[in-house]
Amino acid sequence: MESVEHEVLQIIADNTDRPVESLSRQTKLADIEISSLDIIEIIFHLEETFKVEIAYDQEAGAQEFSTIDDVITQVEKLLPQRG
Amino acid sequence: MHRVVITGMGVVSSLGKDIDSFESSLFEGRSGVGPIATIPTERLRTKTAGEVVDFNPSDYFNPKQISLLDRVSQFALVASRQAISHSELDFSNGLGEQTATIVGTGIGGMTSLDKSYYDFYAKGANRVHPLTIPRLIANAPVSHITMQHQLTGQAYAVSSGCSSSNHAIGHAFQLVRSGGARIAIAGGAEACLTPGTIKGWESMRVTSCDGVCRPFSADRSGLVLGEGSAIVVLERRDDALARGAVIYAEIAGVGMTADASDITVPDVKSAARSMTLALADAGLKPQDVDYINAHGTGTPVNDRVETQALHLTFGDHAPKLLISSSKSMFGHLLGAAGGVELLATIAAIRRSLAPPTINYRQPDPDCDLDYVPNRARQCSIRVALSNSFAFGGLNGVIVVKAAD
Repeated sequence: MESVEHEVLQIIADNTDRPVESLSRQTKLADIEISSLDIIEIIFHLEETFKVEIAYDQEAGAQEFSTIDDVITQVEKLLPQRG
Repeated sequence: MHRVVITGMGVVSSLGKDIDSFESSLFEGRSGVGPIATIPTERLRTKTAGEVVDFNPSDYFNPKQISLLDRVSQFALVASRQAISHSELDFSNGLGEQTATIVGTGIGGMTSLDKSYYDFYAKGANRVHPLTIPRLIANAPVSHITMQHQLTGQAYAVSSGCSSSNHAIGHAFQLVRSGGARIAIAGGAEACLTPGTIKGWESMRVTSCDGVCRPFSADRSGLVLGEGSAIVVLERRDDALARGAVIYAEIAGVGMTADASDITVPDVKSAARSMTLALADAGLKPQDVDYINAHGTGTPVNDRVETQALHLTFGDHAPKLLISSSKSMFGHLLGAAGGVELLATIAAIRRSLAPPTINYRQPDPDCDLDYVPNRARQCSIRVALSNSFAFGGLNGVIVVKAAD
């Protein structure tokens, strides 16, 4: 699962224009000034990369993402569902 | 400066294809939102819209006309015919030259664009329909209105997303008020319920999860798209009185601002400033306002921000306002939203009846005003605002007064 973590961090880094080394599982999304548009773009790239569907915001089953760890955990949870 | 009144109205919407049926549905609290019937939805999560399901172009146009008209222009033409016939104006005696025509649309001829892309990219066709471009251009609705009624004054399309209609009507009002045009035909049209467009809205994650629009309710989850057109005739009050025309309402002011902050998230201060400017333009005070037809999209952020903006603008008077979102009934008509909502606002004034916000289930502490939940409410309405706050941070607010 280490590669999932790496890929998620890279996607967030690319979408927030930050060096990937500055991010970790413990990084809070609020601290890296992620806007509502950044988050939907990040989710789009995660869905494309991992071929999963992530519920977000008001959608049924949606999780609150507060840290990058929440995002990684959610992607890992969805991964076995990959066809 | 001339006082400006409305002497004609026309509408095509999921609540009705004429003013009478639109108004009865509005006050009954009937929903125009239903299962999408005109396009395939297998690959969409969205299954509902405020669609004009029973619109048959051949009821209004001959086959040659239909091949030239995208659905958006068909809607605009039908609404403008009603409005102009309603006004009983005759443009043949030179009046057409003094008439401005300004019609808003957020997108334009999306049905034609979507089809041509589908034919070309997906089906591999080497030819697309030769009238694709004249059908899809954003000025097609306004151009067809000028051709049909021989209106040869200034004419243009306005595109400012969900505020397009209010900007179009606002500019038309300013023109007639200043003497720049004798008459103005203004409003908006939208018809972009295509699979590709709906997918785009879904991907933004702003559409309702359960297919129902619940403005200001704590359990709201997003907007529901709609389509249609609304067109009004604006005229100098003196001219209307002189020819004995029926005056439906007076347009008293307009306020327009740009947030200059975020492409999707609305700004409280800028929304409030557009309402304050509109009231100042009309020479009215916040306490003079009885009713607000809210932008009220049903997204978590819009309804919270609009409520904060109402508090900021109206202060102690805010809890006394009747506020409703007609989008709860016909969905979000985007570039046509302000037009149909102006008609709802005029109807509220004329019937002394505030239309309801339907589908309202749970109070939200962040939305703590009187949204006229679920049932229309009788009350005297002399002055009302119609709000539009677009993606892109472009705001337009229109002040409507009872005819006197």
